[in-house]
Amino acid sequence: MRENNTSIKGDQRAQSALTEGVRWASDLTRARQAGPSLSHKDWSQAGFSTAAVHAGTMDDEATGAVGTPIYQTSTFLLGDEQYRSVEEGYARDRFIYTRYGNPNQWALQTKLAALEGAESALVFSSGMAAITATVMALLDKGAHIVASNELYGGTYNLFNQEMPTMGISVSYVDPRDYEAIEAAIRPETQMMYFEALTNPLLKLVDVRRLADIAERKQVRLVIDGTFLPPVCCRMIEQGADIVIHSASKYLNGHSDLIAGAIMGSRKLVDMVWPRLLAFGGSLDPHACFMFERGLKTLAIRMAAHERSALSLASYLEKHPLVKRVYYPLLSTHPDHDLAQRVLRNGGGMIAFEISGGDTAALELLKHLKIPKQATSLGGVESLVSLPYNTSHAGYTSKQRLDMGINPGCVRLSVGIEDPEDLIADFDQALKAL
Amino acid sequence: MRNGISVTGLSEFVDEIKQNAEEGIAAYGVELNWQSGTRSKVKTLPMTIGTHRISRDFSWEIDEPRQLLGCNHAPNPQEYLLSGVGACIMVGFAVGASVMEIQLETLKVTVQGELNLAGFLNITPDVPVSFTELKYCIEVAGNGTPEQFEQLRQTALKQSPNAMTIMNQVSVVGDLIIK
Ligand SMILES: Cc1ncc(COP(=O)(O)O)c(C=O)c1O
Repeated sequence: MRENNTSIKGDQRAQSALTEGVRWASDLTRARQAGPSLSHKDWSQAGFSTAAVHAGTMDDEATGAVGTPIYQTSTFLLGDEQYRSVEEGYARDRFIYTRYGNPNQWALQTKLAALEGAESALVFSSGMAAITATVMALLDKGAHIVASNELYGGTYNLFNQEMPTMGISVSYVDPRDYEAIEAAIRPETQMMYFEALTNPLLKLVDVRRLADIAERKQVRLVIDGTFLPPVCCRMIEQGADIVIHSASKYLNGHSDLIAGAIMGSRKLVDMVWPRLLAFGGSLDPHACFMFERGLKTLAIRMAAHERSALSLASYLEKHPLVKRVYYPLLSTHPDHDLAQRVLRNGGGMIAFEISGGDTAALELLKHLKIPKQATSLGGVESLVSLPYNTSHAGYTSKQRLDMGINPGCVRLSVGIEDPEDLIADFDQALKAL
Repeated sequence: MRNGISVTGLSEFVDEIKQNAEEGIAAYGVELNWQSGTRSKVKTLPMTIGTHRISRDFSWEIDEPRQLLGCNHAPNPQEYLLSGVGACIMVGFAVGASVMEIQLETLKVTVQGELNLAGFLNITPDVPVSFTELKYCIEVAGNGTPEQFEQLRQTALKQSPNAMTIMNQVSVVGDLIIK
């Protein structure tokens, strides 16, 4: 360390690898550490709500203002230390330019890493920016991906339309068929890519089992955890190498911004960071501030989502016009045993099938007064949509049937409204059919 | 980054291997398919570093000059061998310069060798088949002192897996599969 800490604008603990007399690689002294972060208090033993409120959040030193100030700047004053960090390759630990890093991004990243129990995190301007940067960071020319055959449409488009242009191929397999997943792995496979809970039928994947395959086959496991934020299940603990989120959903939780995030080891997140810089999907400081505020209530929001979703799912299951309900915490859910083992919270996503097919489903939507007809999920307000004319409109009805999406399938993101009100609303809407 | 090398990343990798020796194990392979005459096509096989596989989607051709009964369509095996040694020394030099905080301006490595084809052709049994000497020359410009560059030269050679494979000899084991 050649300068005193006050000159360091960034992570004080992160230092140059070079000291006097270094002759060869083995003399270098820097080891990887968690972060980067401005606050190094360890919240890993704290509960989710405590970590959500406190981890990463910094009070303003100059004024004593409580909460992370908004650093609405594109750039930072440069000094010797910053120049040095660029020259030696530790620029991620310093403030240089907001696309590279900004205190609001760091505050958020520290909070996300604490919630996931991960060493490092990055935030992005969308979930898709997070996915693109991650996938491109972990793959090489000629690589192959083994992915779920029930991916979010945007991810499927990236894999199906963009990856082949870059010489990367993808095989799609049933996320519950672990033998088929293993059989799909080839010598050039570098990544397994799955969603923790699928859309719309909420198949729960066994991340531990996938991680076991990944380890034996020497490939990376990437999990899109959007439907199951860390309060429900920590994917890194289960063995994922990187967990990706569309933070536009539960993590921010208020349907008022678009953002993405990844969490994982410092080693892998450091590999993604240069792609964030190159592809440019950085999150604006003001959006970070909103996201940080939203994230503070993640645990209590998830408790409310689960409470309302479980009540509503149980009610729907008994309704004569409802043929089938999918919710991981219902004993009738095909993955219920797994859910009991791995989920601390069942989340707020429900799918159900009503009698009368898509016409009846459309009619139901018209009569609902609380859930809004909109795509997206994970916000405080309930949102409802039909896969046949939204997320899965690109498929033929036969293809949808093959996937198990039957006519009359409704996807519901249960908000935090009182369960009695939601049940009463569904009761009147179903009566009107 | 100085010389385009992240000494931070290098340091962290070094530490990772110190913590877990398995992370330092690199396994490589190439596959050659005979095309015709003296010409072959090479492709890289997936590589592993530590516990992870890396796709290596590269291929190139190898041939001999007409004088050696080829078509002179590509470099020959000896040139690949020499370039493998030269590139390896060059990487070591650039890495060493970076950790010694030397900014390189230019760096050129030449590797030359001579062999007697009478050995390969077994015309004269006491003539060695192999190269009997390889000569390298490093031409460098940068802000290091002559002592530093000399130190770098020695380290680059001593730490070069390819140069050391040749200098220390390596056992070559093989199989034959008849289809
Ligand atoms: C599972 C899943 N992954 C990724 C995304 C993409 O996220 P974003 O819309 O924030 O780019 C979505 C968004 O709809 C999603 O549902």
